[in-house]
Amino acid sequence: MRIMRRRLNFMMLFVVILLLAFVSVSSFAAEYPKEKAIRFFNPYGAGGGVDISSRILASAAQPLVDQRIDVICMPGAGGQEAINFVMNQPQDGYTFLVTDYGPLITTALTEKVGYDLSDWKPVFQITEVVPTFFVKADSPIKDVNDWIAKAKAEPNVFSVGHGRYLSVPHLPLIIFEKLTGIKNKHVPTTGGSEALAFVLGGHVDIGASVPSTIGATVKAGQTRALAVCSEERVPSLPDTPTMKELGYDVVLPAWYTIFAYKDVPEDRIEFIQNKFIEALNTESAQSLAGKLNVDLTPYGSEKCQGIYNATIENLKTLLSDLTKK
Amino acid sequence: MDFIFSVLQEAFVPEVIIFAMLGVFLGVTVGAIPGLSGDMAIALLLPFVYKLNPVPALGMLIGIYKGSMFGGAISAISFGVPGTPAAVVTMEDGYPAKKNGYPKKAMLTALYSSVTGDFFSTLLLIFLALPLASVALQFGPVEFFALYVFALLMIALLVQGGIKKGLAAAGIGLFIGCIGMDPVIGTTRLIFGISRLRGGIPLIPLLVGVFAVSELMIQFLKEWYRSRLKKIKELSGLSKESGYDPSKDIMSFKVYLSTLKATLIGSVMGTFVGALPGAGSSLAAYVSYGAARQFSSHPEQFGKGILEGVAAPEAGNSATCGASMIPLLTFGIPGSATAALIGAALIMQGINPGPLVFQENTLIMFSFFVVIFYASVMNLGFGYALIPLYAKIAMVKSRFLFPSVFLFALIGTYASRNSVTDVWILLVAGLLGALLRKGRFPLGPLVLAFIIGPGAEKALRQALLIGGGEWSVLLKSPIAIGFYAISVVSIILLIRFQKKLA
Amino acid sequence: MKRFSLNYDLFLSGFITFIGLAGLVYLHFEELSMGAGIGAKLFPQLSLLIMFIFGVLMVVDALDVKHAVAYPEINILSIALFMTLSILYALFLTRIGIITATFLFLLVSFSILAPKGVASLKSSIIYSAFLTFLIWIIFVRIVGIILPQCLLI
Repeated sequence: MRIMRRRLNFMMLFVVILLLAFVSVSSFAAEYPKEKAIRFFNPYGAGGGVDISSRILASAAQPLVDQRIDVICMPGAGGQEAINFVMNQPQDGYTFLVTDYGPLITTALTEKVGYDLSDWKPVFQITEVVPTFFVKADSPIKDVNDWIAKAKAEPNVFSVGHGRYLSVPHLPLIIFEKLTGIKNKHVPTTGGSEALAFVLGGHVDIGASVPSTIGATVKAGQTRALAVCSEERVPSLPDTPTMKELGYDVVLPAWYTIFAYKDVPEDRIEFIQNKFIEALNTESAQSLAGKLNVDLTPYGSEKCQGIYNATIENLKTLLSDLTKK
Repeated sequence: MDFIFSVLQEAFVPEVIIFAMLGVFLGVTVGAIPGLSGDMAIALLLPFVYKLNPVPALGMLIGIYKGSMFGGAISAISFGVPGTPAAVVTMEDGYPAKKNGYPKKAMLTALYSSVTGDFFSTLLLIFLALPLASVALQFGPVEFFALYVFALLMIALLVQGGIKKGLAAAGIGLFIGCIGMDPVIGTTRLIFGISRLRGGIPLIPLLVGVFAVSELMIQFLKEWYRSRLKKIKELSGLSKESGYDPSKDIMSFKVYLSTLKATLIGSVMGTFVGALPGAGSSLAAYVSYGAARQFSSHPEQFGKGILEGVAAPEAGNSATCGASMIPLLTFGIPGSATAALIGAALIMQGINPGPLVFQENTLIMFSFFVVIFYASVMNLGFGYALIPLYAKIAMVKSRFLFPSVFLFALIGTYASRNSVTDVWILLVAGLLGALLRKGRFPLGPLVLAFIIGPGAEKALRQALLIGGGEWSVLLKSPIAIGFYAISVVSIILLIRFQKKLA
Repeated sequence: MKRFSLNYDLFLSGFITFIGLAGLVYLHFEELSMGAGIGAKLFPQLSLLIMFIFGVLMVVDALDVKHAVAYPEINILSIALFMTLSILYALFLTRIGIITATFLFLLVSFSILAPKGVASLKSSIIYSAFLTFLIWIIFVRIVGIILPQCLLI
């Protein structure tokens, strides 16, 4: 028995050593991007818009890059944990941040954060998310002009459910009200889903959300989209006019973009963005996105930079106006 | 007829059956480990969902959901440590049941009620989805607030021996729930300069900390005390020696029937709450427990190990499995966080959940329904098979068991959101839980207030915003008035009941 | 130590009352947005008020009646020691490495709880190694958790 016991002990010790060795073995020298897995960090929770879009990209790009691409959700501290994590990783082109402008820009402009907005380099934009105003199908509000007319006649009567405060669907509402001078009751919700639920249930008159959330109900005729806030009409809602068409300069689309932190080498960024562009132009990616009312916008690094800077400027003006109130 | 054949063909392909079984097994296992939850397992498996066909992928995920709703009860009953948030209420009577010598009866009751609740809500999902969803949509801020008020009153029902302690605990829970960004404007409050707390205190670390870590700490210290004194005193321990009499612990159909009322109450409440967008399984469990106690013939035994107190919350939390899919599949609005993840999986398969989902994907969706059904059966089978296995694990020597479960809980909590902050919150919550336990504070009200508080605040403020600042808006809805009426009646009954005891 | 236990109720309820009051005072001077309806202060104030009121009631109780404390054998010192062990683990986990931290924690715990003797030390080491391996397999390999940069493994 004693000998058996001793053998067992040695075996366990051996296993322990083996596993220690196993653990410390890292991949041998290889070319970018083959050294280790590429990781996208997402400051939102699993299942949300950013998560799904980045997974679409990751799965389309994996075969082209010939390397694993993982999407990891780190929603802690309102998204700041993901941002801080990416900042503290080695800047070797394997760790990226994928987000919309909320946690990255809005938070930086309203609170103290540990980075400068110029430290972040946009690498690739997956999709554009366009704030959309919608009503229940049988609502007395026929279109945007009707909304304005009725609101002017009786201010503060309509309630608008709009996602979180200062979120992607909320800011255009603020701009719109400033432009037209109408006043509505703002009702913050936890997100597009709740806004949709409240509109369908008749608890708020108008909702503000994004096409991917409401697309299905629009197609089924349960809701009507009044207008979208982008430069051009949105492919998944072809019958919905833009605010610009109707004469109101409310253009504030959001984007889901991949960011690299400051010291990532240029050539690696160039390489990976090309692969991404290729990936999203494939047949499978396009058809999947179409089914889901996601409008793909495979923009490379340069174009993104322009959009990024423009968004920062827009938000700065908007937020400083708000705080003046 | 042809159609029915194709559906059955899709649903009974070996691939689907295997993945559904895998899902249930994973779900029960993950649910049983404190710190890990079904949500986490689903979130982790999302990338794999791509590589599978739609029906097996969905079968696996729904299997995990169902399995985890039952799995949480296993550790709740065996160690007094809830494996998932939804199992917290099961623990109230489940753990005393184990201490009183009938853990097997308790666990089998949990299993049978889980499966019953699950079946019930699945039936409703399949046959009454649309009307139920329409009712669910009637719930706006005003109605939600009334529901939350009603649920908060359940706290009073949950408290035995000391309403003052219970309400103080509720106050603490409410306070903790207020830390972080407020639910309406998003201004950060009460973070005292610690930016890690911006997002508020997340549920899992708090829950696992307050219940599991505190319990483990206490058991660990008891073990230590015992080993130091070298006394074999019977300090209400978990080990084999404490006079366990298997003959008194036999589950039978009669026992199941005796708890049937509670099970059905749980099923109904769970389906109802589960169908409400944003409500969640913990709330369903609490409300089921409270309702079952109201209608029970032995309300004074709740909290002491009565099997009805295990049956009701388990039926309730499992009923959310089918129910939370109702708003998801009718309007694309997920009824719970787990449903949202399943929605994401659907989207990744190119299926857009919403009003057209059946027209666009008829074959897949109907096959999915069949799979949901037989996943329940698998849940029953696996649960039955796994209970003795996990019970054996629970019998492992305390010396090895507690530190290991503690680490699993800690790392599991870390894993759920990849957050170091969560680990610190876990430890602080554990300390808080231990100190409160020492003072004989009931922990249930704390967690309930923490869960419901932010939702109630949001609903109240949204209602006031819609109503333009008029408090009377809260009474403008018949549903809301109904809830307030039930609340008032419950309070009256409670006071009379207390008087009877005095 | 015994006297402490008897007064534990008093200590705990007093502490809760204090927090309730302190919180209310703090909030009174804190700048919180009053926008969007009733403002962000209401619920925190409500919770602190509840803590305060019931804290006071409990203090009155504690002075009146002598209640038995749960778990009298567990004192504040032992709780503090356990917390120290856990905090060390958390620090090791995030700075030094998951395998080191887990192995050491388990080893220390099993040894503390063990009956005296070399045989028990051996079994502590073996089970620590085995469980560390198990945890590593499950969390690092299968689940794939993201660990911060560490010194060792």
